[in-house]
Amino acid sequence: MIRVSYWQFRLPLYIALAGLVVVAAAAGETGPSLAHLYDTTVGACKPADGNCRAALRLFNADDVLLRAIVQTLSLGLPAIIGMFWGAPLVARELETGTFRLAWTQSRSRLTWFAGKLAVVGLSALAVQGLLSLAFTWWWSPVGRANPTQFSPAQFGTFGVAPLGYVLFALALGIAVGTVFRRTLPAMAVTLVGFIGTRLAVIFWVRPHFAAAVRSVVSLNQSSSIGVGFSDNGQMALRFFPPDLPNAWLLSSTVTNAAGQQPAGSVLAQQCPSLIQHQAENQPFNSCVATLSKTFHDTLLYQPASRYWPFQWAELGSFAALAAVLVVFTAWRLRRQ
Amino acid sequence: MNAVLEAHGLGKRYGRRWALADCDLTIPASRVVGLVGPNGAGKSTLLQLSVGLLTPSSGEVAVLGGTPAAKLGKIGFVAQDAPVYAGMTVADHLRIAAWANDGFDLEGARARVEQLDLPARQRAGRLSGGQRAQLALTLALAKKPKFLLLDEPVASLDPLARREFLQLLMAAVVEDDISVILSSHLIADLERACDYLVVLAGSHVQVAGPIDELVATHHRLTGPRQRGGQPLPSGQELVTESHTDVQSTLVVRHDTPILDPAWTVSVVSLEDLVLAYIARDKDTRGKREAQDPPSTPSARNLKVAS
Repeated sequence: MIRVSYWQFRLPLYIALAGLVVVAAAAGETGPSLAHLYDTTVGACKPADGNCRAALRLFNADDVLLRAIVQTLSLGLPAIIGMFWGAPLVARELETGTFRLAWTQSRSRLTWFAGKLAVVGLSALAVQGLLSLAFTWWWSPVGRANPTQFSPAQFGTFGVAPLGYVLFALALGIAVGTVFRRTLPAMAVTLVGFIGTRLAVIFWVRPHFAAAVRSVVSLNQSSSIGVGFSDNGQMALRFFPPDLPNAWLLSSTVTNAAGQQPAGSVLAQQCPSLIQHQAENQPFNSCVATLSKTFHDTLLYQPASRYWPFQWAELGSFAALAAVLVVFTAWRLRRQ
Repeated sequence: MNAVLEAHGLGKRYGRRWALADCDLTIPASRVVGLVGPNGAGKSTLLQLSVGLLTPSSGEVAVLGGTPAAKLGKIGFVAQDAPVYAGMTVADHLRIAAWANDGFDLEGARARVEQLDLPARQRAGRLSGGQRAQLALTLALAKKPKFLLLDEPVASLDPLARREFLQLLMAAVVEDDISVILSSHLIADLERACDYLVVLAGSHVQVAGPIDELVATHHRLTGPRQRGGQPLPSGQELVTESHTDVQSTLVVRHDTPILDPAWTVSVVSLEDLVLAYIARDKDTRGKREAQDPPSTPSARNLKVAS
């Protein structure tokens, strides 16, 4: 049945491979110049000279459109595959009546399904994998300049996680198509379901793959501290947590030993001069020094070293969801 | 094993409606069976249950002595409207059918396609209805089936295509000794091809048997108007009756000769025979509804219409 499925699927597969060649050619064309730009800006700057911020700005101002395209394509490909390969896989057979031809040949319905799954599934993995490889190579200077590998967009663009997404999107499309029996509504539901699941995992599942590391740092170690107004109009200090390159900061809370936050009343008590002379540096610095004695910053974060375990956990989660959907579809097909 | 199809208490329910109910049916081998009944009688349901496309809600069906799923390789099926893959060429259909079936006669199928003047490189979606039906039949025959089931194969064909299709079918049947069942809502479509008849109406089997036997045992009786239901002699079963002021016409099934001189006995055509059984089904349902007042609007409409 592999041959049957391949023969029926070869046109969409060739279209996808042709698209892949175009993308690879574009990446090969623009990648070296991006790497060269990195070497001459961020790669060449010396922190001692203080020109690194400017170099980073210069580097990040380049190829903005291409970077956006890379991320959109990589994040969007699983949804496209789920909609255009997954949703019609069973739904179109049901819609056009060809299932009555397909399921009355000598092979069982489940063998037919397994053949489809093998061909379309491996094609989807190959297309997404090759695209991710090309983009990972292209993106590496950008990644070195901006250590934000855990940001939702980047985490979902590179590594092995996209393979999980594409498997899930495909299985979702097939399952929804089998239930709805119509291609078009199945495509819409697949898109919504895929985006919803991805967001749900980002917000509620991924942070809990491993218990976050808790670390208490002194206020002096914060990357910066500022003055601002809280929601109710009272003056408040703003603490920006220390830089943790490539780590995933989940929360940063400034409290004293009693668990109080430096709210307006605390500030007024600890730093009366700050309220009176808020524009001046001297009272501000002395206020921070005073607060540092009793307040500290509690950080919850996933360290950079957990990137790959998290990538595998993400792949595993989505692959497991895909497996559940495939089993469900097989069950539905059997009792159709 | 002398039966190609055996159904016991077979039924299929959709929601609260039974598309097929209490179907007991045995179809002997080496017959060309016409499955006839009005639209919605359950013909398609019976055939799809027999090839495993549907699972029974009650009872069971065996084909070639096994479950439909186990016998798929020996069953040929041409579904209603002969579905094919619109985007694939005729040659593609033969190729993938050869991969999906062991012992598929690819050479024979190619020769037949050529002989039928089906354009091999044409996308199946652009074939005419008759060509599509011929392609579907070619695919089913090349499986070298023992039992061939065709669901309304000629319903959408013009008279010429209809004749060509049935010729193709009959030639193959004679050649390979295949048992065949084909459904239609018109007996006229099948009369020439079939030697066995199953009448399905109101989701029940009304009558089944060899056509020559059915014709020999059914007659139309015409005589003076009958007052009240006079019982027929034993061995005679009333199928339908109709009355004018002075005359009664009955269609009866009888095992014994009709001796009552009051009746003029005449031959019933196959078409009239089928119609008589369909009318009987409508009648009994009408009576049932008269006893139990209809509760649903659709049932009420039906009664007003009849």
